[in-house]
Amino acid sequence: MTANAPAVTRQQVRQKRVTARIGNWLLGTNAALIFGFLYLPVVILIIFSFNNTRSVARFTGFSTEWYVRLANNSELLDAARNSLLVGLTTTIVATAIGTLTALAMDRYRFRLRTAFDANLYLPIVIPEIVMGISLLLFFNQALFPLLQNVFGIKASTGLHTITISHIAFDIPFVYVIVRARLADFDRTLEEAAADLGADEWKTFQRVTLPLLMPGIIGGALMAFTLSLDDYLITVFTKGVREQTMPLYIYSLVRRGVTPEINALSTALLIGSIGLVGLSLTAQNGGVVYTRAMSVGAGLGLGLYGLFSLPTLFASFTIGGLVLRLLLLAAFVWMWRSYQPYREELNLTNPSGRILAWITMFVTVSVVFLSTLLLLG
Amino acid sequence: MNKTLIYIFILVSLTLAACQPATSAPTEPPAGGGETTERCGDKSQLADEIFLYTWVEYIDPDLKTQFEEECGVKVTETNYDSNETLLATLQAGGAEYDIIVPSDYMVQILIDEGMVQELDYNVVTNIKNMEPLNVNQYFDPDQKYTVPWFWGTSGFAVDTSVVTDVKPSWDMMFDTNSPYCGKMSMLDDERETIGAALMSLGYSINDTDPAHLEEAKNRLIEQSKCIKAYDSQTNDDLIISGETVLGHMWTGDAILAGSPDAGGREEIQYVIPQEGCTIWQDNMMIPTGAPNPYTAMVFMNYLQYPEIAAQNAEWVGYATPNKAAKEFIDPDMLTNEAIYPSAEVAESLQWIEDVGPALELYDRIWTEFKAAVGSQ
Repeated sequence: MTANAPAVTRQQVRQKRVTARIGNWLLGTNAALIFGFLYLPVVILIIFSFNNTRSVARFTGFSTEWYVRLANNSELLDAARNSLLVGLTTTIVATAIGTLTALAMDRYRFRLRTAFDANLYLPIVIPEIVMGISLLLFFNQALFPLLQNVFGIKASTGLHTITISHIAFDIPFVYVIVRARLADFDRTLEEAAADLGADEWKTFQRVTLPLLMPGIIGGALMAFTLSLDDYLITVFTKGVREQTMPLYIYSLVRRGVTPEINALSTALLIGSIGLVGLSLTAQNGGVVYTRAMSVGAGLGLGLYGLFSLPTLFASFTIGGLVLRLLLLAAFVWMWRSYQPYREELNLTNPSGRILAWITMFVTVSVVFLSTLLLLG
Repeated sequence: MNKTLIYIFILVSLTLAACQPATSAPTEPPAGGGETTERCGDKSQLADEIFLYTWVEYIDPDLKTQFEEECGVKVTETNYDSNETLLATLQAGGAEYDIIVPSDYMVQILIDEGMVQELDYNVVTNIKNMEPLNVNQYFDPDQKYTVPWFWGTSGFAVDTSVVTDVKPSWDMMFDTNSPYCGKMSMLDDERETIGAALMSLGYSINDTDPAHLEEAKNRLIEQSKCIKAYDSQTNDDLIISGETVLGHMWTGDAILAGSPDAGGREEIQYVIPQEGCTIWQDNMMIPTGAPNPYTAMVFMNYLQYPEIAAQNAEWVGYATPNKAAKEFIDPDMLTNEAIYPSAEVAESLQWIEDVGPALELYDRIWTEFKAAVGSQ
């Protein structure tokens, strides 16, 4: 028995090594296939945005003409702007409501709680087309007549109804994600904060919210994506004045999709990769990057405010004036974040300093360009 | 983070508020001090803005600007992807469009459903400019509801670098001893594909005789061994890349496939078979309950002045039904028989009409054919 033991071990070791090698190889192939499956279409999409003819199936030569055309296609840019506007508003509102609902459902016991909980999942389960039609009926048969008869306001569908509908179907998604995060939330941390003298608001601000943040951000990203590419619900709740990007792209089917769409997708992709990169840097790299982003955002908004002042004088409106003043107020915000930013910068090593400045400049350009797209 | 969110939220809600339609109550300004011009009609009766719901890229943006400058009416355009989407939107109610652009068969449905209103041809006087081919057709026999907008056909495209003996006949597509057997594609469309077989046999595209349909089915099954693909979406790419040399195709795709500017090859020509060929037409109409019918009619009329119709036809690339516009159109485009077929060819064109209860027969023939050739 003892004599055989080393031989068996050696054989076992060899076997293990082979298994491990096969396992590694399989895992590697699997990973490569998954990444290929996910990213190859995106790479192809980007390549075809540089095609020199209108084909999205055969590459005939390099050109940037589609980016030039995109910059001049006001219909498509309008649609993209509407999509961003709806997406941003939806994300903010749906994330706030979804998070608060999740907290309430997690912390409190009340009558019909289970029924209410089940109801919240309904928008995820029911087909989108049913949701679209029911929302349309709600607007046309209930809300608008009510507004008309009680308040004398004549309302019609438009971007606002699209936004309300998107908020309605996005809330459950945020709710589910935040609820999952809350499931393994350690309540003792909150008790510890209370022990140390923090009041409830402070506890929420300093302990609960930061711990929930990954769930909230995940929910917000989900909400934004769902809103950005929704077609069915939008088609039912849209008005006569504006359309969103998916509606425009679907309508291209008749005339054929051109690389212009690829160019727009590439621009959006680079924008979102930039934003994700920025937020990752901010999360992992410490407070100096957050401050750099804050300064950058203030500067970007302020600069846009400054540049758009002449258009205000061209056609004066009160709303426009308030908007410009708000934009210019961003300068104050930048000024107030600049001092702590410099202090932080002094504590950072040289390479970190360079990275912080890069972060700031990227933020300035992203904020400036997206404000231009949204308001320009 | 919180502060940033609040700032963004305020910004977004302000912009949303700024985007809201400010004008909703008085759509037609009060009469009085009327100034009447030829192209703009009675200016005192014009609304400030009209809403156009149309196919994408169906109107030159410069013409919208020109109309706004000349007549003071802003034209706001949104797009749909199919006639069915248009129908669904109108049926849902709530969306008040001034002008819609349905295709022939949808015109008939909309009239039957009472969803469109009669036009006043004292306003749309330019209806006199139309070719006889394009007016008083089956969907609007008394020409009471429509102004023809664009039209086209569906014959087949030929790669003349391979196929030398081009005959304007369906025999080219249905000859099973042809040297090009295996390098052909047919549309994947119930009425179009069965229609091609019916016309190749010398029957009408709207034939409802079960024996004739059976014959057509057998012809299609026999032909199927030569067909590489039944495809309506990428059939133009197939012929450009040389995978097929003969392809049953809609005009728009065939013209693109034949123009080097659009990534096609000059050798690809479009043929209208002499036995008969489908004709389609998109028409401007005014839905019932449109807020500004008078302004809509002025705009429809405006677009049919010869120079304007010519400019738009060149921008869109489809055939205009406007006879008077032809002297202003680029002669190269005018002599392209794929776009403007000669008079004798035009006579053989056939409309796809509603076959009534025989549609069930068509469905059965189509299913049997699909089952026989495998689910392609």
